Amino acid sequence: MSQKLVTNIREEMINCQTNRVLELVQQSIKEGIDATAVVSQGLTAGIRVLGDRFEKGEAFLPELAVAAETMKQALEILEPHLAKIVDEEALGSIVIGTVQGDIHDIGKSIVATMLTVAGFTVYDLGIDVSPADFIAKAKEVDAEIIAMSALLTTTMERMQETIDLLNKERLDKRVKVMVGGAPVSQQFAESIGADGYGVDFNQAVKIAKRLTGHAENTS
Amino acid sequence: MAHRPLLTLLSEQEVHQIHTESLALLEEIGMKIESEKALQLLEQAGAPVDFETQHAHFPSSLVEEQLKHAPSAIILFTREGEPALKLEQNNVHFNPGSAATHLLDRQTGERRHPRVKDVIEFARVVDALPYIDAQSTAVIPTDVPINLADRYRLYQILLNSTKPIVTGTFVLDAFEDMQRMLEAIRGGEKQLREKPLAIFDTCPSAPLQWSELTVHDLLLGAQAGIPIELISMPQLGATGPITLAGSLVLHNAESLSGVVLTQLAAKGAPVIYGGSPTAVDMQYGTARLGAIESIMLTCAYAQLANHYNLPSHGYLGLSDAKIGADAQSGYEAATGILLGAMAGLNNIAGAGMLIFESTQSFEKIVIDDVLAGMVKRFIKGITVNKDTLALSELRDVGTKGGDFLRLRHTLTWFRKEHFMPGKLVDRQPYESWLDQGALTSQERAREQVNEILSSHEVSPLTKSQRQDLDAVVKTFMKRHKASSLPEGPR
Repeated sequence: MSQKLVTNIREEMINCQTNRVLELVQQSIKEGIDATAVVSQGLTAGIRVLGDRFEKGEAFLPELAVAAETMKQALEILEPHLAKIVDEEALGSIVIGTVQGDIHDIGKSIVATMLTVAGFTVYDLGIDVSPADFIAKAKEVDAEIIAMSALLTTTMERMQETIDLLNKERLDKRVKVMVGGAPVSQQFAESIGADGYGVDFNQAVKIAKRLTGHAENTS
Repeated sequence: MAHRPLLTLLSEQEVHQIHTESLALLEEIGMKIESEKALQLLEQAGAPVDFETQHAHFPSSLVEEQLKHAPSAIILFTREGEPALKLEQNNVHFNPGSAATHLLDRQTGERRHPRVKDVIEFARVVDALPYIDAQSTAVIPTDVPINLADRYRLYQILLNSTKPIVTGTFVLDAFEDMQRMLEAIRGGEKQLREKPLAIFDTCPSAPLQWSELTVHDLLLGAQAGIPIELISMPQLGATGPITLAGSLVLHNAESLSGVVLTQLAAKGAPVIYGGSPTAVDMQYGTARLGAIESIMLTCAYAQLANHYNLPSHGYLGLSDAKIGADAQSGYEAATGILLGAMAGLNNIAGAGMLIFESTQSFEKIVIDDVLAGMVKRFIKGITVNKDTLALSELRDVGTKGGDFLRLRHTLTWFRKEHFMPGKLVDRQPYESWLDQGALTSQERAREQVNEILSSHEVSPLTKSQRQDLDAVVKTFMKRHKASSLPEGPR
């Protein structure tokens, strides 16, 4: 029965049926099914199918966004039942947010979704995030990457401050920094000492994989 | 007067419904406004305001009342003081898309950051184009400090064109410098108020927010009698509902809040109801401007602007194509410009613009000029009277035979009835097209740009205008410790 339940979770994830997924996840806890299997063979497996369909132009952003949100809610339910989520295919943790003084959300949210779909554990701090908040969260979740977004030429300077703070706390060797947003360029990223810059979400995923040592051979 | 073809997407009942729902949204939910001053004005007018959270509710009665004060016509004047843009009724005017962070190099086609030299060349090209009625501060120069780029591009355009200008700021201390520059041309605040030379764009941040900078400009503009253009820009499916009707309610609510703020700042302040809605591409996450849904939303809010009897603006004629003269850039621009003009928008911005409002193109601006000319012809409609019906000519030729070409009637009417686009539109016989190098649209457009730049003369400012303008520029350069800038003041 347990394998069937995990398969159903995967299928309902693909169908973007949030409530159904959450019900099944609750049920899996009652039945004592291994939470790690629920995550890797159910939730993550489902979201990867959507990711593949997206690549082929068969699935679209609203489906991925709902699936990523479902994933987040399901993980909150499962968390107490997991010593640590041991997903062999998990790629690592990323803390993401829009920098202080900037309230532009959407580009950053899309990147967060795509990173989730790609297999990262993503902590989205939202908008107007201070350097201290980025660092605190990265420490708390032992993140591999801090990802920062800015839409305004006047706020992108705040990225430098986060990197400075990271260096000051001597975390710069352990935590990589990637940056993006309309006014940001490769040149700017290099000038502030960021480890990666992506022009869109596709590149963001590639760079996150590269920074965590999961670079695809094909690319 | 010929019948004016006018496009409507909504029934009268639906217009009323959108209006009612946007009022309800403003009253129940309200707007976040990052401006102490604006919140104070609203509180004085009886609106429930929370200064802590910077939030205000707009009672419907307040909105309805303030709508009555906004003028229904705004006239912009050339640098020389001649009336140029008449933003009223269903008049249509065009200006380039503004504030591009990139430019397609007019020689190599390479996409790169603009420089002051490009600002100048672009202004001179637009100055020469017959159907683009106004300038905009179209590209952001990157060889000046970023916190001076807003006013410095205005300076260069004032030097290099006589057309009125659509502009805006990037930082808080820019508006007053830019106002001083315009006053230097006119000879004072009063003269500028009487004959506006520039429009300032202010954009609420969807959903339902006004940032500190935009409200700052909006209030100053309203007080100085400088026309303010409201650019609400919900992104369907991201910062606005995915449905057109839903985003229309949001757009209208944001726009009405802007009208209220201008009128509270100064009763009768000139304000233009406008916008730049986009739609999220669900495959790439990009903001589609050339998309039919973005165009539909713009045409629909034109009906709201007409309903309120306010001058209107739309961002149309843009394309998301990557080169200035290909099929996509042509059909997206043509669809937007034609439909927007048919919807009766007074001020249509967007010409020249590509790639999600990020990139200006010399080739596209000259092509869009032709489109603008075509569309202006179209909306003039068909004149039907005794003379245009050609009753006697039809009878003469019908009786005696022969042709119409040599008739005086043809000579009298051909320029009035037919749009002459020039050489950019290829209408040669195949063989001569081949003989002359088989040029593509792109090549012909580049040729035209080169021709304008080598031959077009812009009349200079008077000596005292130039002195006063340079003095303003020198003052802000000094304040910002910018000792020298490209093509700087004398």
